[in-house]
Amino acid sequence: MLKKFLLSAAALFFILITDAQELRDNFYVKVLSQELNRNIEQLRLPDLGKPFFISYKLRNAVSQTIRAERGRIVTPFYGPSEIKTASVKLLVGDYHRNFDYLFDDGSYVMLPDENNADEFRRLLWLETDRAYKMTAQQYNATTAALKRVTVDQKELDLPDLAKIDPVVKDYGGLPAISGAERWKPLLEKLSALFIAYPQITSSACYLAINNGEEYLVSSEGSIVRKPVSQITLTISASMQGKEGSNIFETYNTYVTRMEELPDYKTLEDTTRGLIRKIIERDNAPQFEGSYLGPVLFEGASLADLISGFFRYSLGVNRKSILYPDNGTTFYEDKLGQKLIASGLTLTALPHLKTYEGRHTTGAFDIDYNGVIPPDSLVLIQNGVLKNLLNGRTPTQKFRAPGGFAAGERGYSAGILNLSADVVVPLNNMKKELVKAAREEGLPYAYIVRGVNVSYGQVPYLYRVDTATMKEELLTGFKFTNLNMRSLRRFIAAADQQHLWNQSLYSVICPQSMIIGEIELEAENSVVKAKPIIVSNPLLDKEPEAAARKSKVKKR
Amino acid sequence: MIFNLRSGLAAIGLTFLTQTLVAQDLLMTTLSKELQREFDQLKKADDRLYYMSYRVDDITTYSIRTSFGAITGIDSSRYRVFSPTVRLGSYKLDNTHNVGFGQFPGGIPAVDDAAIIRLAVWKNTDNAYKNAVQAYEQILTNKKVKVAEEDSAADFSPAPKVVYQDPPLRYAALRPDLDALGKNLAAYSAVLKSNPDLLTGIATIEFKIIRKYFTDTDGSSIIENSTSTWQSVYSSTKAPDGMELPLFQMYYAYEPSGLPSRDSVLKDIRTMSAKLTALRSAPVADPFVGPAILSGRASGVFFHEIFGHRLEGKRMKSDFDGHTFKNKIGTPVLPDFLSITLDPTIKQVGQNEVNGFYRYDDEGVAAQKVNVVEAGILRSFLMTRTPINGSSGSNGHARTAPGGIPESRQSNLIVKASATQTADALKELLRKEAKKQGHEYGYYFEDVQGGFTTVGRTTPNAFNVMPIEVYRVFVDGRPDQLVRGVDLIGTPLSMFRRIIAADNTLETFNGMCGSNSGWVPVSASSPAIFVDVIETQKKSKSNDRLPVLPRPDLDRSAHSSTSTSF
Repeated sequence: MLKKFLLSAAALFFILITDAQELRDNFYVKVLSQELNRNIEQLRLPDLGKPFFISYKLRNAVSQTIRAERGRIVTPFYGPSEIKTASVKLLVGDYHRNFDYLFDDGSYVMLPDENNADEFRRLLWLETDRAYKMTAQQYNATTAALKRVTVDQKELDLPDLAKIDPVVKDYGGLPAISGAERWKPLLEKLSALFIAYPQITSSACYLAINNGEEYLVSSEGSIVRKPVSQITLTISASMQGKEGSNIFETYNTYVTRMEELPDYKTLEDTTRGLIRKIIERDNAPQFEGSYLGPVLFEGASLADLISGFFRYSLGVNRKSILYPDNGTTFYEDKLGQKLIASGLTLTALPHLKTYEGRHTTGAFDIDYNGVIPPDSLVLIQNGVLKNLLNGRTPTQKFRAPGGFAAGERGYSAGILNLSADVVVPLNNMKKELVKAAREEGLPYAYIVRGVNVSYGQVPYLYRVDTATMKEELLTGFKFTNLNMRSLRRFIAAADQQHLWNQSLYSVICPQSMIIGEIELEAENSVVKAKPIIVSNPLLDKEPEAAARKSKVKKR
Repeated sequence: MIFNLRSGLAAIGLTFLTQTLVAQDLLMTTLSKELQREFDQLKKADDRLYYMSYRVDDITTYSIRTSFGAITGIDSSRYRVFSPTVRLGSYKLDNTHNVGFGQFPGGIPAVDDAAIIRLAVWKNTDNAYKNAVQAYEQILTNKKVKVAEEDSAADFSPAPKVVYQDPPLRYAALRPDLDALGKNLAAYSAVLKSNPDLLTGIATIEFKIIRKYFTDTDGSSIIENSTSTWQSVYSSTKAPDGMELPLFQMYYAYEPSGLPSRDSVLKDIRTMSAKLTALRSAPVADPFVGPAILSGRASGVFFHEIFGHRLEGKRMKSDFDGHTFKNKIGTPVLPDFLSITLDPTIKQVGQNEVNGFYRYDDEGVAAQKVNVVEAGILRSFLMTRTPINGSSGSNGHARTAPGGIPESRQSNLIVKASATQTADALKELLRKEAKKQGHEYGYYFEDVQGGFTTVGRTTPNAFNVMPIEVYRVFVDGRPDQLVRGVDLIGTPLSMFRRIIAADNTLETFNGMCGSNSGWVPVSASSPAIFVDVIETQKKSKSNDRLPVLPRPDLDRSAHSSTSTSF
């Protein structure tokens, strides 16, 4: 048994060694490593600090967009296009003091299409040289500026960059783009569905494929390659409403594999539904007065709401030791406090690749800095803030790297799971809404139905008569004071959870949720664009009729 | 049977080709129909509307970029820029009065589908009309609250109706051989890699195919095709004092096949590479006032900047323009041995293909050769359909970048000298004049990268020609000395008097001119000229050090790094 175990361990060790060697032999890794080594060993100017840390990131991206309008492909050259970019992070000083969290020039260089080692290295050389001179200047200037202020010793004692255990790991290379050509006739066919509706004056169906592989090589010894894949299918349409306003609808579906795109029949139904909705919205009555009471959020609207509340807010913020910052919310100071209703728990699940048989778009194995995140991290437990997302910038309560860095200054949970302890069967949610409204003596309650609000679209708002349960679509409203705190008034959630994929992010949440004390007001905008003076050319039969008449006359 | 099959295939091919070619005319048919429909309905709603036009630039580009022997990118694109013009008021005063901005161009999908085109045109026209209304109201108000303007000419003038159509473009036949071009470019930039002094070495090509459509409510309908090829080689180095030192080689031809041979380009690049090395250690020139020779290319840019821009008629309508020549028609403005024409009707000057050719301008007027200066006497301005006091009627010089408002712009500028001397004689003149003025040397400006000028009233009416290759010519006959860091500056009126002689050559500078209406292709051809007094100033320079480490491919110690592992 022990022998078997040792053999297995040896085999695993051998596989790991082979993988690591293959990764080191990769063209990009080799080029990055060679130039990085040269610079970390030799780059220095007299009487200036030398770099103690350099990391190179390289992104090799292949993208392809095919767009169709009214049955025609309108993308003249739609073949895949390649873009390679690299960025350099270079730090002067040491782990304790380098001011990393204060500066980021966001600079990157374009690399050639051709894999030419000399040219790659030349560009990295110039960019590293630029980064060194700029960083050394900033480091000295900031050190001097620090002498002008008095800083809390506890903050001064914090290191600026946390040390990590370097990772050498190949998570996979550039995902191949296949099957895009098959979508050309499908997009033409889908977009042709709009032809029968001349009042819809803008419409498009398009497929955008953005695949890539990302490399990280650092002077700490990290070597990482990971694949990125995002495929978006969009159907959009707009028309001028009776009131002169522009009514538009957008449907997006995000997947990581072409085979997970919806089939044509589903998309045809979606498109027909989108057309129906846009016309329905034009005929819908306006919301009047105001409302304060329970609202049922269904489907994508709930996922958008959750993502809007938490996607960018639950990351740590390092307090600057140079400048006062009164505009930032430091959630670190709120750890242990109740943020939302005690029936709700929010968890980051960065490694979750699939859910209910579908791939998530937000999953990642290793973060932007080459740190592996935990399998799950409870951010809010029973309404109480327990944790925050962090990267390599230490703060008072988060000293160790968290593995959630997504870019130089951002953090991402990848996949956010909101679960509720008060659940009712999905089919009973409307009844529960009406019950809650009746308890407050309200004649109406409201339902916000699945629509992607992140594109600025106005959600579908249905008024429900609490006496008859009858629904009516309304337009011309807005939410006021809708924010994370609104979730303190959570009433009930559906008993079924669902995965909603967004752009490089996923939300798993109940299919619907009732939240109390939601404020609605009539839209008070008094300015609207004037309607187009000339008649819609697709509805205007005059020129053809006139042409026929003139032909008749000539005869 | 074989014969029949072949006929069948030929028939299919022909049908497909015919469909593609016919489809190109669909755009004009649709534009014309929609223009009339829009004009009729808008006129009913607003009787101040008196003129409309539609312009579409249908642009296809192929570009290849290489750097130090590596292909860095190959791209192709096709897009259509739609530019509607809406005029409210009257020929005398309309919404375009002294307005050099406010055009709101839109895009039209590059697809031959009448409904898609009409929808795009309809939405963009509405935007253009609403902007025109707002501008017109503002202009009427300005007239009430401000003093009368110096120029009282009308805002627009009629032009003859033109119907012209170039044949449909055969895009497939025009598609360049990207592989072959890419290989050439890689070879060009690889030459630069072999010079260790160089920090960048880039060779690029852009081949552009344009089919321009113009239609207006006066009944004009024009479709004009054009192609252009720009091949450029760019390299730079840095002097130890931080000064960036760039050099260019630009090649223009209508089609890639018209570019110079590979061997001739390689020879140019080797020369350029050697010059860059020489420039690194060349002395920095101090400010100087004295005699100089400008090569044909340098003087072409010099005339374009200091003279050509001041002949652009439409800008003289504005009270903010310097009006350098506005009231000088019929008076001497240059030495009597010089004449200047602006001629958009020619494709070649001498052996050189020139960049400023077109058949019709962007207001639908036929391009015309304009003799602006005859034997030193100013004869005419470059005119659009916007008259100015003393000059009316377009001479086909209304030009704009896609999407802009057409302005008076230059085309192919040609300077001719009636009395010429040899290049050697010109150099002797320079030496004598330098000696006379007590200088050790005069300057020879061999090549320039471009220039700019200001023509307004609020800042000094000055010009700056940016030389990249300048030599000191010593009075004692020593060999010429390459210098760096010098700009040629001055004010125009004082400069014109200083042109003393010209040589018997004619060199051409092809380039893009950027002004109020965006970038337009132009050329300037001129003999070398001798000027008895020019002024130079120091060129601005970077204070960044040279890179700390050597270029990686030249760093011997880098090879040891290669074997280092983490």
